[in-house]
Amino acid sequence: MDSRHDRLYTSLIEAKDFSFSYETAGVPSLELTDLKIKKGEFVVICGSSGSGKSTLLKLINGLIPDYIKGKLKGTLRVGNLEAGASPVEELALQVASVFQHPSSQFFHKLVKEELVFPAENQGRAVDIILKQVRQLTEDFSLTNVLDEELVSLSGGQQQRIALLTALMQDSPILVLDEPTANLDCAGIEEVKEQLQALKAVGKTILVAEHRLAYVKDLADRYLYLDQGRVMADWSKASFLGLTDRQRHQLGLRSLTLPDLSEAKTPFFSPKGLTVKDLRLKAGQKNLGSLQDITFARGTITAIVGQNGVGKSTLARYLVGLLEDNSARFLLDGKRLRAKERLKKTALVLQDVRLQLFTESVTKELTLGLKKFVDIDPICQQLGLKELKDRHPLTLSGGEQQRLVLASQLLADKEVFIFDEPTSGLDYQQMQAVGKVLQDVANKQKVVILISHDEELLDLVADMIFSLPKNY
Amino acid sequence: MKLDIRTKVLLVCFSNLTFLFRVSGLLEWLIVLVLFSFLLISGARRMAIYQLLFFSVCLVIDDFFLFSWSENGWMFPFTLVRASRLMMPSLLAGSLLLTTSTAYEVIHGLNKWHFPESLLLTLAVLLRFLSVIREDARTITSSLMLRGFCLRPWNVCRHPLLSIEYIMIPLLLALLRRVQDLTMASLTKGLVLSTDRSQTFSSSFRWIDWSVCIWIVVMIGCILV
Repeated sequence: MDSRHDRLYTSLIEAKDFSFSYETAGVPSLELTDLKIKKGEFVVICGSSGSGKSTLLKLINGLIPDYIKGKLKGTLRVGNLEAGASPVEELALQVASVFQHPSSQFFHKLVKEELVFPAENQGRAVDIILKQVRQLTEDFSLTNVLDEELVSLSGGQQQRIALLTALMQDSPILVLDEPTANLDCAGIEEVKEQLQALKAVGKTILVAEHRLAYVKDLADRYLYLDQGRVMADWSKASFLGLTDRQRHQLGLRSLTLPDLSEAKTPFFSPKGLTVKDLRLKAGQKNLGSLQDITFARGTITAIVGQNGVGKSTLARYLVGLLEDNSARFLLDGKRLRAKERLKKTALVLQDVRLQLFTESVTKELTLGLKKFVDIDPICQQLGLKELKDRHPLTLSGGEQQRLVLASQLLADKEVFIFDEPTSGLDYQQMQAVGKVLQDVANKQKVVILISHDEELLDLVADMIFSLPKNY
Repeated sequence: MKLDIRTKVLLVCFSNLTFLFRVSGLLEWLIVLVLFSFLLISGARRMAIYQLLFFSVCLVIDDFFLFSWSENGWMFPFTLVRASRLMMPSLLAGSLLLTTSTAYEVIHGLNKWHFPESLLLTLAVLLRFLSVIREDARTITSSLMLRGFCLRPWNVCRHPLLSIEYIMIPLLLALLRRVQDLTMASLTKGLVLSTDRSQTFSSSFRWIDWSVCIWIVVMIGCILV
């Protein structure tokens, strides 16, 4: 076998003395001295947030430097193409990509339209496209959703469709950037099964992921990135040989998830937010009803349940954005109507950027306050003191989250609801969010946490309320 | 009964003509009712009924209170009512195009008329983002309500600049982020490949589309005569 044959058929992705710097950055964001990824390998790229995982994937699929500009040095070969020299559309024939948010990666409205999109762009014959759609949807048991609208599917189904669309590209390499960040356990299981099948047919798969538990049976290799460098290249056996403690020290999530089946059920408490006889509706659709539940002061109560079961709708009722006239909402025994609940409750969303409105941290903190309040103590407490003159949208995700929290604490809110605050966060960031939640609970506030993140739930939840499918 | 995308575009052009010619009387009613029926049949029932009710209210005010209002110096509201009434056909046809067409239909349907690809992609993205805009705007207004800002139409009118600052700017920034995500995803799916794009699910002009075309020609004839 000659060296050219080796080069073409042994390693599908190869980097030699390669480095990349973003246009605005002085130092390289990614450096790869010698990296080879073989055909058919399943590689997990792990590391804390900002370590260069997404940068590596964007270099492989050609978004860098075609769409996101920067400076490249050395060589990075993907299939028979050179990163930097080949445009993204040419690399799309070699690499298919799946992103974190299902809703922002679909171009079309219907499942069938989205599935044929990459194949149509390649100008393939219609009968071949239709045959492939039929084959793939049968293989992955998705024939029944072909005529559905993508928004009507669950998060897990949407990511499976994103995976199928990637397969329609017929490319040998598949890159996935945190594909399960927004999924519940059932959704993750669906994605895992599909990845298992793709691995079995010989696809080369690269997954950048924080949630490592579901890939432990699939991965052949783990690349650990820190500050843009490959600090460790573990085989499956050596990575599984590490303890969770060692993984945590590296900023990685646990490989074994805590068992939450012994639910910490809510107990009656005279102090807190009590909800009685609530019928949940999403538009015209009845989701279910809750007879009697109390979220106690000074504790963190988690609400868990599958995607689409109505957790976020319940939050909208609790904060007063929705009203059910037959229901009763009591705070410390005193009945609250929707208007009063709006004044007493705070909702911290997963994407807090939609909750920031002004041009400086100081203005953001005082927005909507009727009387003068000294913002310094809260800024000091939440680490915002040095950031008071910054534009809120220039802050990091964690800082933005703390800013929204600080503004709500200044508004004297009593009930705090956090909706998926740790999706896409590494272990240390997850711990930091957990500490913020505990600090709020320590102020004797009612803290309600909506999350799929088992590690966070295990870390901070005092009580877990599971919203069943039919309630 | 589904209209071809080209028929919907023709209806939009025709309804804008009716605005230019200030069609009124029986012809106006006929055009509004036909467009209303198409919107109703296409499934956008609630929107169709609201728009018809709105048109009826404008019509009654315009026809019965016009004289006394303008006499008493109520020119501004009167102008608004008159403009809304005249724009009704365009509003109905626009709703029909935007709410009942998919990006797929826009790209492939209008491609048959050799529309420039850049224009088609812009239209497709516009359609794609209608639901996103609604979703993000809802999140922003909800968040503002939790910060003590009541966003009733009256408050928006009283503080237009603040409303723009607190709603439009975060919405535009959110949309920019969404556009970036969608562009990246589409590029990795070969959107800008220079090959001739194939069309898996084709649409064609059927009897209903031809009937609408004939109706449009007859109506234009009536307007001009």
